[in-house]
Amino acid sequence: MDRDLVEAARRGDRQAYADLIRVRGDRLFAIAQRIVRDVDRTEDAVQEALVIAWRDLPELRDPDRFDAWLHRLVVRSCIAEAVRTRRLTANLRVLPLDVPTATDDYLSVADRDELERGFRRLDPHQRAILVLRHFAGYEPAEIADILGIPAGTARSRLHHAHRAMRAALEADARSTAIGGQLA
Amino acid sequence: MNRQRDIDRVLDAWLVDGSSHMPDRLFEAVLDRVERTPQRHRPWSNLRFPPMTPRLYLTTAAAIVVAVGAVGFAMLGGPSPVTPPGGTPSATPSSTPPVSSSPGLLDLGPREIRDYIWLAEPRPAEVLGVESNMAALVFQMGGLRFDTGHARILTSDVVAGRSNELVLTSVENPGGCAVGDVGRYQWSLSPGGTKLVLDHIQDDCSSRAAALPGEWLRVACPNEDNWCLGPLEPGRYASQFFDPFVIPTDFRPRFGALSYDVTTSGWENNQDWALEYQLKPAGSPDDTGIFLFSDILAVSEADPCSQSPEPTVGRTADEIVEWLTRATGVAATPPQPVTVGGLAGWRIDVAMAPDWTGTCSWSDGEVTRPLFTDADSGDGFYWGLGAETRMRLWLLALPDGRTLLVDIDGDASTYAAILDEATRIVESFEFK
Repeated sequence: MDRDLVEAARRGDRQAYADLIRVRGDRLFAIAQRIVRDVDRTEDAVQEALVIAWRDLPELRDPDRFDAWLHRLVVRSCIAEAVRTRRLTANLRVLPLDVPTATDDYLSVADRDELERGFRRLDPHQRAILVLRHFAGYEPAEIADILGIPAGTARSRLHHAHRAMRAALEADARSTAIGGQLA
Repeated sequence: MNRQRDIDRVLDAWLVDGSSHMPDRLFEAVLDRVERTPQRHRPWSNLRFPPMTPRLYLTTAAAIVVAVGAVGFAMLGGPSPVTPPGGTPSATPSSTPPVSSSPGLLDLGPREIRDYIWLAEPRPAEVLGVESNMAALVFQMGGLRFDTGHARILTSDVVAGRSNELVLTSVENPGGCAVGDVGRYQWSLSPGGTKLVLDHIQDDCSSRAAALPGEWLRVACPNEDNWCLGPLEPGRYASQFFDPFVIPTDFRPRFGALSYDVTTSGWENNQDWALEYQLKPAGSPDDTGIFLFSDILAVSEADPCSQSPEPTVGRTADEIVEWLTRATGVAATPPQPVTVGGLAGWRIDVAMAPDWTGTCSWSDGEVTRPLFTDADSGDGFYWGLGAETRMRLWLLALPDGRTLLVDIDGDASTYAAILDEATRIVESFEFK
């Protein structure tokens, strides 16, 4: 039972902690990679969060809050990593993630490229909330729980993130059009 | 893409792509660090992080390290992290035993150092064993890392030694150190804390011994998205990202493409992007200070609000300055030929012509005279005059025919207050 593992890990049982993160690692990594958009820096962010989680675990009062708390640490670490590198990477040519992509008739290659550029224009906090909603599938109330913010604030931020994504796509389209004229 | 497409469906479909597997190496790395990381309990953490001012921290750092070491020894059964006195500088393996087998996760050295990122000239590939286009020291809870712009290497736990020493213990191999390699470095800070000097005392790891010593510039950017320097004290500084000599699609960070002297206190660097750099007096409005923009173009005379370039004006400094002298709505002094930092061009002072009444849809009814846009105007770049704006402009010729704009900018009162010192800073510019 996970609660028992959390309790054991809080008492310093490293094997229990390993068991906890082993079953959660894939999901946490997937969320992190979609926020950070860079494999190496995603690994840095996830490693950082999981070590801090181990260090601070004794201060987690309610073991049932472990998942939300761990998600919060990972998301915060990803935001910090993305903030540090956002402008640097935004100025470089956008490359696709070096992982295979699922076949999807709904989005063309051009669409994906445009989405990638648009998404990278977003504030990392906005990226995080979109990933939690559209990839992880959390409801606004759950996002609020993970981020430690009121539910109304989560809904508001989600609304603004959607709007920012639309604006980023529009800006990308304008930039592409202007570049085409000058070329 | 169809703009009307439901953004929810688009994001759902797009975000599902990508890896959903945590690499085994990451899992192993986490477990390795967990193995070396003590958990934090309240009494322990309070002892490790006593609330105090930076000055107090400095004066008591050694005492705290001793106390922490003693408690750490008692609680963890490990040796004290207190380092032995310094020895002869050497890059060869040392007989000095590791000062601590416990991690530096809760230490990382003095706050004046560990709270910041530090930038310096990139180190040669033959030193690091990997290509590098930047050198950044990044302190995180995981320890000190050396960021090359491509990778983070030389990851080391950090503890504060006595007499302004940092004691580093390698925790990973990338960069050439063996896990457990210990290095000791003397640190010193400039009076305002903007410059860190690391001197090598001893290091088991030769690549770290070659990479770390020297002067580092503090990143204390008020804009959290950017690695600009923030507050400056008198001294010479360099850019990390701004590079007027490259076009954006070829951009790579290049330390020191711009360098300059600041001779008085109270200035700060609050933007350092590939195409833009800014220096401003601390606390002044955002539109006051020294601005550098590469790749500027004259804005359309027919529709200056459009951010479109003027088709009859070329992109060279000569053409743009000639246009400024005859542009409607602009009062300009005769341009003076100048050379700044090795770049030839023109200096010209401009303000809005008294009879100009133009507004733009985005100017909220305020009289405005846009002057410049840029070739990469996807960001909505424009730069121009308000009714009270004063500008001293340098239009400098870049080797490929583009123009670098340097602008001392402010309203009538702030402009007068900063003009002399700002002009001295501009005249100290070097471009390489």
